[in-house]
Amino acid sequence: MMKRVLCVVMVLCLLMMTACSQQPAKEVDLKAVMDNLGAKYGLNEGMLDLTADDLLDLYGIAAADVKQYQARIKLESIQADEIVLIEAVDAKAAERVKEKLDARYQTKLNETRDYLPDEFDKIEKCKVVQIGNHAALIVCAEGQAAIGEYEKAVK
Amino acid sequence: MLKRMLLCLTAAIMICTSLQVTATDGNQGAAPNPAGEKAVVVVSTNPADYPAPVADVEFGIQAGDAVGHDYFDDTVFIGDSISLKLSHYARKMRQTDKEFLGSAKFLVAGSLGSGNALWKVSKESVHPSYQGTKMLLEDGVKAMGAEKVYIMLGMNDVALYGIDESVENMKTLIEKILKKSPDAEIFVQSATPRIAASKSRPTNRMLFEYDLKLYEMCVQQGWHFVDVASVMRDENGALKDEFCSDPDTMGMHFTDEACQIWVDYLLTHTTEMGEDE
Repeated sequence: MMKRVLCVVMVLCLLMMTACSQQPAKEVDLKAVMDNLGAKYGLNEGMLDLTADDLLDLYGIAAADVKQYQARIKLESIQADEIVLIEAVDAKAAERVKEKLDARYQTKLNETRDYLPDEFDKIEKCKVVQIGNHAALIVCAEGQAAIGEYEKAVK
Repeated sequence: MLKRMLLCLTAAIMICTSLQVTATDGNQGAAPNPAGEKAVVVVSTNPADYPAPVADVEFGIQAGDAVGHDYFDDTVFIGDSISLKLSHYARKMRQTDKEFLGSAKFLVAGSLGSGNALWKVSKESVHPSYQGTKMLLEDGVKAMGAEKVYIMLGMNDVALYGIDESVENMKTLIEKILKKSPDAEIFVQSATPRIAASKSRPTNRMLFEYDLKLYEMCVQQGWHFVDVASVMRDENGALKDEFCSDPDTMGMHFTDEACQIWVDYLLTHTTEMGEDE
C-alpha cells in the first residue's frame, strides 16, 4: 500500500517538474527586430515593405500560416538585399514557411549566378534560419552579423 | 538570256517586297489619322535602312487614347530583370494606388531569356515562380488564367544565341504558351536599349536588329507588337541616361521614372484604340 502511494507521488512530482521546465515561447516583436536590423545593416533605404498578398505572390506563403511578419525587398532588381521575418502559427506552419524561404533563397542564387557575381557572393554568405516557430531569410551585405542579431532576438 | 534577266528581276522584286512590312501591329492595329480612319504606315525592317539603331516611327501598335489600368486586370507580364524592376515598381505603386496596372501579375526573373525558358525546370533553372512554385512559363500563364500575355525577353539571349536563334526561341516559347492557353492574346514588347557608355554585348545595334526581327515575327504570326524601346531610346538609339539605374555597371535597368514612362506607353498602345466609351 505504501509502495503504491510512493509511486503515485513520484509520478506526480515528475509530471510537475516537466510542466515547470516547459517555458512559454518568447514574445518577439518582429517590427522592433526589423527596425533594429534595418537601421544597423542598411535595410531601410531603397527597400519596399511587402504586404501579405506579396508573401503569397512572391514566396507562396499562405496568410493562414503567419502569426506575424515583417518583409522588405530591394526596389532595384539587380540588388539582392531582402529580409523576411516570419513567426508562424505553429511548428508545422514554421516548417512550411522555411521550405518556401529555402526555395526563394535558391531562386536568388540562380538569378544572380551568371551575371551578378557580387550579389551571388552576398547571397551565398547569407542563409535561411529557423528557430522554433520563427523563420527568416536575411540577405544583405553584412548578412552574417544581421543573422546573428536576429537569432539573439528570437531565442 | 532574256528569260534569265526577267527571272532575276522578278526575284529581286520579291525579295525587296518581303523586307517591307506595314507598320501596323500584326493584328491590324494602325496609326489613326485626323479623319478618324486608321492609316497604314509602311516601314522597312531592313537593318541597312537604319544607320543608327533607332527609327523615327514606332513599330506595332500605334498610339491611341489611354485606357484605364483595369485593362491589365487579366494580364501577365513575362520578362527578365528589366521587367523584374517593373514588378517592384508596380508593387510600390499599388501600396498607394490599388488600381495601378489593374491586377496584372508577373512571371519575371533575373537572367531569364526565351532560350533558358525552354529548358526543363530544375533546382538551378531560372524559371520564375508563381506563388512560390517554380514552373515553365506556359504553365504559369495557364495557372494564372491570363488572357493577355506581355513578353519582354532578349537581353539575356541576343549575345548568347544571336539574333535569328533568339527570335526563333521567342516564337517557340510563344507557341508553347498558346498551346496551353489558346485564347491568350500575345503582346511582344521590344527589347530596350542600354546606355551609350555600355560597350559589352549585347550592343544597341544587336538589340535594335533583334527588335526588327521580332516585329517581323509578330506580323507573320498575327501577334501584337508593343514598341516600348521606342520611348526609351535617345536620338542615337541608346537608353537615355536619366532612365538608367545602373550606369556604372550593366547600363540597362530602369529608374522609377523610366518605369512610369513604360507604363504610360502601355496604357496608350493597346488594342482598344478608337473604341467608343
